[in-house]
Parts: sequence; structure tokens; C-alpha cells
Amino acid sequence: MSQQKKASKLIFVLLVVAFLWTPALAVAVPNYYPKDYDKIIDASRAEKGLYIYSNVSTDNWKPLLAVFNKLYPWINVKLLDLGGSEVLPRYIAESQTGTPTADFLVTQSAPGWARLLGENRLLRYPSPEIPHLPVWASRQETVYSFSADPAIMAWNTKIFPADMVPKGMADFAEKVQKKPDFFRGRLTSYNEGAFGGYSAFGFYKHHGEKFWNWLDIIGPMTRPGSSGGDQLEKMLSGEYMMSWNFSAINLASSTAKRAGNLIGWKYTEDGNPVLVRGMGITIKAANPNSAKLLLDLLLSQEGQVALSKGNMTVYRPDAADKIPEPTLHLAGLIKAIGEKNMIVVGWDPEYGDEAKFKALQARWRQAVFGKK
Amino acid sequence: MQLSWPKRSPVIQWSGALAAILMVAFPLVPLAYQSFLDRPIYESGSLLTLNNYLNLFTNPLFHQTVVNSFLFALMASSASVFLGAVAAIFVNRTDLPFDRLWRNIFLWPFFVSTIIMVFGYILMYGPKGMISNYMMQFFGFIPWNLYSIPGMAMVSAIHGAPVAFIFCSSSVVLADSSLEDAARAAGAGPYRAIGSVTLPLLRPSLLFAAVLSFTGALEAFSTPVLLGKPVGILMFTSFLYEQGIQAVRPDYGLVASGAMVVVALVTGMIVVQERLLTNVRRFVTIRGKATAPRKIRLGVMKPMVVGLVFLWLMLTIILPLGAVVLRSFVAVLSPYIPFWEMLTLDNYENIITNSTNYISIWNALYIAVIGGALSTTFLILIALIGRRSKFPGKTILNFVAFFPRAVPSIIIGFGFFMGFIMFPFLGSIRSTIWGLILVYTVRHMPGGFGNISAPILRISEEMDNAVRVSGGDWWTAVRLAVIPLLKPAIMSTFLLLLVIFTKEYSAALFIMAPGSEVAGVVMLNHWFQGEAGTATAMSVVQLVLTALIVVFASRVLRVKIYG
Amino acid sequence: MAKLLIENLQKRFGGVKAIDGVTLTVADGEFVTLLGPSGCGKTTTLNCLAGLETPDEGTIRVGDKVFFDSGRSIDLPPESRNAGLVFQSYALWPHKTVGANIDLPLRLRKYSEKEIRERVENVMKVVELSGLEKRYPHELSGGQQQRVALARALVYEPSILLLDEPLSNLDAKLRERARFWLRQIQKRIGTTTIYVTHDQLESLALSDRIAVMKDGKILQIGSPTEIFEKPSVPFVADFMGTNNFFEGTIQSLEGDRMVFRLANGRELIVPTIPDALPGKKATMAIRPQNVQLASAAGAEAPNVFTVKVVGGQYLGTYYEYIVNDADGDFLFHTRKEIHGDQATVYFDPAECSVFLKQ
Repeated sequence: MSQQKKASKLIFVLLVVAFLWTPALAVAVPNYYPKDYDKIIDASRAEKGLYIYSNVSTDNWKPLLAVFNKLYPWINVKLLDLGGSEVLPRYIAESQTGTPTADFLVTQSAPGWARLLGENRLLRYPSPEIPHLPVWASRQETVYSFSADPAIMAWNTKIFPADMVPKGMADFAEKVQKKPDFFRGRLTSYNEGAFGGYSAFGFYKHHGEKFWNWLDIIGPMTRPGSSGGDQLEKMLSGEYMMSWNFSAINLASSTAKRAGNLIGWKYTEDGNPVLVRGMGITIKAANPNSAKLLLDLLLSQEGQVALSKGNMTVYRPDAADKIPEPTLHLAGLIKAIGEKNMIVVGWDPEYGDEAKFKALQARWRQAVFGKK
Repeated sequence: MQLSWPKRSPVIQWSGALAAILMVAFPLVPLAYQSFLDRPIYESGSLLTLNNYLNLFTNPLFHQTVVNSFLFALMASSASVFLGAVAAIFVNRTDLPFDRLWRNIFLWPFFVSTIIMVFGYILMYGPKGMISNYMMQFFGFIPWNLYSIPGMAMVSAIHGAPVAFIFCSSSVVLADSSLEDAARAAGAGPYRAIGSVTLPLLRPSLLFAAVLSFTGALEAFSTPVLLGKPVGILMFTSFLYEQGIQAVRPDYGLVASGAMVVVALVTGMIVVQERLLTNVRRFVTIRGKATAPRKIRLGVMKPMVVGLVFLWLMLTIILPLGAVVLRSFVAVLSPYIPFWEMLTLDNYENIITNSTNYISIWNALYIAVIGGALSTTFLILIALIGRRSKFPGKTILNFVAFFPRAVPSIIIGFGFFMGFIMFPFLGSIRSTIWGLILVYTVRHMPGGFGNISAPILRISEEMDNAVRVSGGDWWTAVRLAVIPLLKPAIMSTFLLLLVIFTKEYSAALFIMAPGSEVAGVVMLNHWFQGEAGTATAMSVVQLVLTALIVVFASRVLRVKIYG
Repeated sequence: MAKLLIENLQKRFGGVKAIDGVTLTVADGEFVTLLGPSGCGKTTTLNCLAGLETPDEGTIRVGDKVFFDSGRSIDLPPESRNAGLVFQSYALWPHKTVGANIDLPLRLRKYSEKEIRERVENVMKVVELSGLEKRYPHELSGGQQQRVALARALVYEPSILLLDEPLSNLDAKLRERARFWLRQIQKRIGTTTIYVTHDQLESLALSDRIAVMKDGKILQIGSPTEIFEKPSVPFVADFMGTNNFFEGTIQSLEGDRMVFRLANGRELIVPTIPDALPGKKATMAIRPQNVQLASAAGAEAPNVFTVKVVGGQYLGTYYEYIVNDADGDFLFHTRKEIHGDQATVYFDPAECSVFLKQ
């Protein structure tokens, strides 16, 4: 073998080695991450991908996962889109028996998360991003806030006159009381199941008993819906005039964008609930390191910007000016109605109290349907 | 002289039969077990209890569910039998022009997933549906309510009518037209002749078709979930869905006992059905005549009847499916914006760019084609063992193969979920598409088994006995003499399973995993999320694929479904 | 080629005894017919021989090979018995050519291609179908199909040939010819053959011996002439052709003759039978063709009496008359036309069969 050939072979080997090493060296994590963060990255290479159960649709995940894949191309992410309350029971059933299950969970279910925390079913992982986040972004360094979606008011501008648009819940109750026939059967809201129940919980904690007085007036006029998309479709078709409990993320959906001026919206000025969607790494995770990388990315500035591109409302303060849509960052809400009127429905243990929640739901049904 | 290895046939028979029995027992045994446990099956320290049943029977929600389900099934089955019988008479026994065209359109819903039909009905007849809006404009009120038990029954009836039609058609064609002629000779007009002679003669078949669609309605999933649940009308399937999937803390004991009660009720219905079936058979064979019956002339009424038939099919099938197509091409469907301003291909782009969407369509297709083929192969094997062998456990095998009839899809799915929890080492199958194929095969075992059994019984046993005496063992005999003669029946069973597998999704609700989603579930989720555009676009893709397959099979391969 | 032994064969379907203790020995190369009405157990017996049905009890042996032995729990599957079976419907495989139908047994036995070719050619010659190998069964006439079925059963030289009413699907003319032909072939190849039929003419024409069966039992076994001329029970006499039966009592015994008294008082001279005693009830049978007009008999011949002619019809080779004696109606055949409403008839004692009442 000639000298030249040997040399070229050596170069080839070096190139291959360099190529294989490059990604490890090239992952650019924020400079405040711990020195040994590389260990997590290296460990993730030996893992078999990442299983996520979430109630966030694949569409919403897409921009974030694009960033994640660019950073960690070796991690093959598999998503299962489930109903909001389906995520946690499914993980519990599976983890109990050793069937393959999720590494990472995302859903809105305060009692569910409380139960998982209580039963020690989640992996505690102190994210290096914690100092850059509001206090309500995490609980016990185990459950984190994925997004913070405001429950706003929205209406069909063709049929709901501008002068009827309420300022807040107090004003709304007054308006409904004056013209009940105008509103009857043409209002909508989330039902008391998850999102609607928690925003009501938030209203109740914020306003106290007054909220029930208002709901006793507004409720009977309301036909609750199961999802924001469903409410939006029915507002566009004219079946409903207005929703007083509508998740802001729906405003960024392609449907709402195409509808343009047909949909009007505003924050509830005298107290606007913000529903925190939880996330966490499972204790049975087969791929915990990959899950940690995803968690940190989700909390990082880059991740929050990407997540907002998927129409989730994010909350990290230093991401605010990087997000063009004001509704997709909490800063918009704070600016409009002030921080004191922001009702964060998050990790306060009260929200995780199942019995309290059930009682609240019963009271809600009494107001809306006239029966428990 | 050398003969085939004598041990081969018993090995095939035993393994086929055991596989079938295990497959059916796998979901049902854990389900039954769970219904008597005081906590989820996976938790330790559980005690046997009857509390689940007590809780179920004292649960007012379940009482409502029972009443709703029976009311719904009663309305749906009587309406679908009425539609099927009337259509069968008009298409087969009158000189209605373009009868083949009407027949084909009438049968469309059989090939279309219920969820797609329901989408169409919501878009047309929902409170703000397009036709509802016209009613509102012209009359100031909407004379129907889709989100009610009668509304649901109507949708279910139109979807179930094709099966009633197929069943009634065979009796209508067999009916002796001389009886009708006699009525005509006695001075009855054509309609009188149909009403007082043809229809009463159909009575036994009608009764049987009614029981068939009654059980079908009890098992329906899409209609109760999409139309009933939003207004708080629960049925068996939606009750189980809500308690088992949507609850914050699912009560598996309650779900399992509810499932057991449904299985018991449907089993009861099937026993009735079987009794009727034997009577019907007797009835039909007595009058079995191969001559083509004479057609009744509609006379001056012809244009009016054609008009009514056209209007009916337009309103109940063509327009709702058209609405699904239209919805898939617009961003927003609102009476306040002309739809042509909203035209878009975004919904379809969404399918291509979102992996869950296209993977789920691909999965549904893959399960239908590959799963359908595997399932057909397996069902032929067990039908040959059950119907064409001296296998000692034949009776048990035949019973087991027919048993899943009594188990609605969502319950089979839940049972498998329990089974996979009890036997975690099988978990790796569960999270794949093969798990779904297994579930679908078990759920639709009776249909496929029944479809292949009749043709097997029609082939003379002398065909395979001739091979046996010539020196072939059982397996050689069925392979060389029975299977080749079954070819048309095999193709029709395959096509039947293919269509059913394409439509099936409620069996997948409990057990799908990332990567094994099927189109129906994804469509349902999109719809619940208000992403009607994506849901309808996926519906259209599925409709087109099904249409292509069915047209190819029936025109090119000349396969007959329900041969 | 082998000898067939059946011993005490039993088979029940539910509560019904389909075969009730059948014992039969068939010599090497012999042609034995199982004859009987439908439901008598003949086809079930044949299926038990082929291995298509499993008997409840008994033994079946062909040569030194035990096909079935309930005592030793031996039950060879059909494919291991090397029996040839021709089905009533022929059971030709419709999706295979004639050639493929015939060579399949050889292929299952893994014969070489060369041997298969030779044997098929040979058997096609035997059944006179040479050149039709490429045809499909539905392209052949009924008679040709029947011969294909036979060729398929013969091509592997079975130790025993089983034929299940193979001629019943042919029309009358063809059936007669096929009968001769079948007998010829069987004689030529000399395979032990069991033939099942309900047609007594077929059984008479073909068999070395006939076994008449009823209700799962063999009633009588013997050569065609024995069975036809000396039936041992009224059922056999009846089944082997139309017969007139007369009930009566034995009056007295006189050497090889005895006096038989009919219910109407008429006394007839008939042959003696074993176990006959005066006073015993018996049945006498005589075939219509054996009843003669009295002119044919000698003057003092016995069994001559006058009867009333009730009706008659011309059937080509003979006339058939229904006549009435005091006791009732009976039939007789004659070549001569009877004029008037009376006739004098003669029962030749040699043609009368008598059966004791059980």
C-alpha cells in the first residue's frame, strides 16, 4: 500500500470520527447550564427515542419539535395525541404493569398532577432554567408549566354588537340580567370537565361567592362546548354569539385567522384566568435523558419562541419581545389588564384537591343546567 | 410407498383452534375478572367484590344510559328496516328506471365509516347546518333536532339500511311473484299488491333484519359520541368511553361491569336472533324459486316515484357526503362568509405536513389491506377446522369464533387493554399496528367466519374425501380441493373485512400507541378540537381510497361483497 | 390385492344404529355388493372401510393391514389405507384437468414423473379415455366423468376398490353399458371390490356375491342366483323384485313338500323349509312372472285355481294383470292376453318361497 493511500485512509478515518463527534460538540446550550450538561446529552444518544403522551396536537408541537430535532437529531420523538384527562390514567395503568409507556407527559389536569406527585410517579429534575422563570413555572422541581393559556372572551362580530361586549364578569352579569332573551342559548363556554372547570375555579378564588351570583345569571343562557375549536366553529356558523370562556390559543388557529374580523376577542378585565398546562418526566421513563433535554428546551427562551409558533401561549418573561403575536405570550395579558388581574390556575395545592374540584363542578352544573 | 407425515394435520388443527380460543379469551377473561375486583386489575391486594355491579345498577347515569340505548336502538332498527325493505321492493320488484344507480347509491353508506356520515349530517342538519339554515330562512324554524335520540336514530338508520336492504332483497327476489299477480288479477293496483301481498310475505325477514340492526345500534359508537354526548344523552358505548377514557380517574371496575352487562344484553339479543334465523330459513327455502320475478309497473306514478327516490337519496346520502367534501376545501364554513372566499387546500396540506394525520390514514389502509389479508387467511383456517374437519373441539371452536358478535368494538378494545396489562410481556405487540390487527381480527371474527362458512358448507365433502382416499392428509385435502374452490368466497371475505377494517376505529381507542393511530380516532380528535377542516379532509381521502378499492375489486376482480 | 375381513362393525349416529354388527369376509379379487334401500347402512359401511367414518366398534382388516380395531384403538386415516373410492357424484376436482385429477394420488405418493406418465397413460387406456387428459371435468359427458373417477381410484393400484353407487347418475341406456364395462375391468385387474347400490339389477349383473342390508344389518349374503331365487326373508324376496305375499299357516308336512293354508281357506302345496311344524304361521311369496296360466300346467297339478281379473295393462314384452282371489289382490305377468273377467292360474310349488313368521 502506498504512502499516499495510507494517508488518505487516515484522513478518511479522521473525518468519520470527526463527523461522529461533531453533533456532541455542536449542541449549543445556554451558557448558564451546568458544566456536566454534556453528560445528559451523551446519555441520550444511547436511548431509544422519546415517547410523549400529550393533549397537545401534533400541529401545535411541530415548530418546537423542529428545533428539538435540529439540536438532537438522534432522538426519535413519538407523539400520542390523547384527550386531556386520558393522558395521566393511561400512564398510571401502563406503568403499573411494566408495559412500555410514555417518558414525558403533557396535559391540563391539576388533580391528576397532584396525584402523580403524591404517589411519587414522576422524576424529580431541577431544570437549569428555573431561575429564569416565574415562581409558578414549577412545583417541587418535578411538575413544570408547559404553557399558560388565558381563558378569554370571544364573539362573532356580525351578530354580537360592539356595545354589548362586556368589560369583565361583573359587567357581563349585569348585561345579561338586563336582556336575558337576547343572550338565551347563544352563549357558550367550556364545559366543567377540565379547562372550563379550572377557569371557574380561578374565577371563584379571585372573586369569591360573587362569582356564583354571576354564574347563576350567565349560566342558564349558556350551552357549554367540549373544545375551543368546537366553540369557534359554532360561533362562526352563528349557532353561538359569544363565548365567555374561550382558550386564547384558538385565536391563532388557521380557522380563526381565515375568519379574520368575523371573530372579536378581549381579556376579561376584572380577572382573567390563565390555565397552566403541566408537564413532567415519568419515573418509569425508559429514556429519561432525552426527556430532560426536551424539558429544558421547552423552558428555554428558544423553546418558548418555538412553542408560541405552534400557537401555545408561553410565559417566560425574556421571550416576550421575540414573539410577534401578543396573544401568544402572557406579557400581552399583563399589559392589557395588569398583573393583579391575572389569575394563574396552576400549582396551588388547592387546585389539586379532587374533592374541592368535584364540589365546584357540582355548583357549576347547578348554575348552568339547574341540576347537579 | 411413501405417504405424507401423518402428524401434520392435528398440529395445524390444534394450533389454529387454540390460537382462536386464546385470541377470544385474551380480552374477555381479564375483562370479566376486572368486573369483580375492587380496584384496577394492575394494583396489588385487590379483593373480589360485587360492588362494581351494585355501583353500576345504582348509578342513575347508567339507568339513563340503558333507557337511551334501547330507545335509540328501537328507533334506529325499525327505521333502517323500513328503509331497507321499501328500497328492496322498489329496486327489485318494480320497473323503477335507473334501479342499479339508486341501488348503488343506497348502498354507499355501507362502505363509508359512520363517523364520516355523522360529520356530513352535522354539516347539513346540525343546528346551524346548511339545510337547517335554509329551513330557518324560509320557515323561521327547524323541524328537526339532530342532537336528539330520534335524530341519532335517523342517522344510524340510514347507515344501517344497506344491510337490511341486502337481507330483504334476497327474500324479495325469492318471493313468488304469482302471488302478486293473483292480487293484481283480483283487482288490486300495484301499490295495493305490494302493500297487501309482498310486504306481509317479507315479515319474517323483516323481523330478522330488525333484530340484526337492533344489536348493531346498541354497539354504535360514532353517533352517540358525536351527537349524543354534547347534549348529555349517553348510550352504552359513550358511557363506557366517558367512564373509561375521559374520566380523570377512570373506574375500571365500573367500566368492566358495564361492559359485561352490555355483553350479556347483546348475547340475549343474539339468542333471539338465532331463533328467528332458523325460522326464517325454513320460511325462505320452502318458497325458493330460481325464476326471475315479474316486475310491477309503476304506471303514471313513475315520474313521481323517481323524483321522490332521487330527492331522498340526495337529502340523506349525497348532500351530507357532499358537505363533507365541501367542508374539506374551505377554511371556515359560515353563513356570514360566502364559502368561495374561504376556499383553501390548507386542510389537505395539513394531512401531508402532519405526520400523525398521514400515518393514521396509512395505518388504517395498511390494517385494512394487510390486516384484512392476514385476518382472512386465519379465518379461513379456523373455518376449515370448524366446518371441515374431524377436530374433536369443533363445537367449542365454532362457538368461540362466533362469540365476539356479542362484544361491541369499544369493549373488545377495553378487554385487550386489560389483557395487555395482565400479560405485560405482550406489551410490545400492543403498541404496534399488529396489536390493532389482532384486536380487529377478534372483533370481526364472526363476520368473516360466517361469510366463509356458508361457501365451505356448500362444497361437497366428497371433494376433500376424494383427496383423503387418494392418499392426502386433511391439510393436503383442504389445500388441494377446498381452498381452490373457495376462491370467490375468499375474495369476498377479504373485501368485506377490508371495508370493515377501514371503517373500524372504536376498537382502537384503548390500545393505540404513538405510531399506531388509526384515521378514525384522529378524525374524532380533530373534530372534538374543532378542526373540522382537517377531519373532513381526512374523511375525503379515506372515502376516495375506499371507493378506489371497492371499484377495483368489483369491476376488475369481479368480487362480490355479501356474495 | 387382498382379502377383506369385517367383524362385528357397529356405528351409531345419535341414538340410531347405522351399522349394527356387520360381519363380512370378502375373498381376494371378489366383487361383493352391499345392496339395500337408502338408510340401510350400506354407504356408512363403505365410508368406514374408506376411513371417512369412524366406527364405534369392530375390526376391519384388508390383507395383513388392520384398518380399524376398536379393541386396539387402531384407526388408520383414509390416506394411509390405500383404498380406491369412486363417489356417487364422482367428486372430480373441477379446477383440475382430467390428467391432474388422475395423477394427484401418484404425486401424493411421490412417484417419479416418468412413472406417473406411464401409469396415467395406462389407466387412461384401461378406461378408454386416452387423449382427454387436458380436458376439464365439466367438458366431459357423464359417462366419461364416471370413467375418470374410476381411473383416479385405480391408478395407484389400491388394495381394495370401493364403489358408491357409481352408475346412479347415468341415464338408463348408458348405465347398462357401463355395467358390462365395469364388470370386465374388475375381472381384468382383479382388485377386491365392494360395490354399494340400491339397484337390485345392478347387483345381480355385477356381483360375485350380494349382501342385502336393512337397518344396519346384513340380512342375507350369497350369490346373485341364491339371493334372487332363494331369499331367506320376505324383505330380501321383496327387495329383489316385485313379489306377491300371502299370509297363512302350515297345515302338514309331506317329505320335501308341505301344505300351506291361506287365510281364505285355500290350500297350496309349497316346498318344505327348515324348522317347519304344522300350526306355524308363515308367509309365502311368488313373483308375478312365476304365476302361470293354468293351461300350461298338467291336469292334476296342485295350486290351480280360478281368480277374478280386476285390471290389466300391456307392457310390451308381457301383460300385467291384477287379479282377485277371495283373500285379496295379486299380480301376475303373462305373454298371452286374457279375454273375459276370469282366469285360471297355477303356482309352481318350486317357485314358491316360504318364510316362517318370527
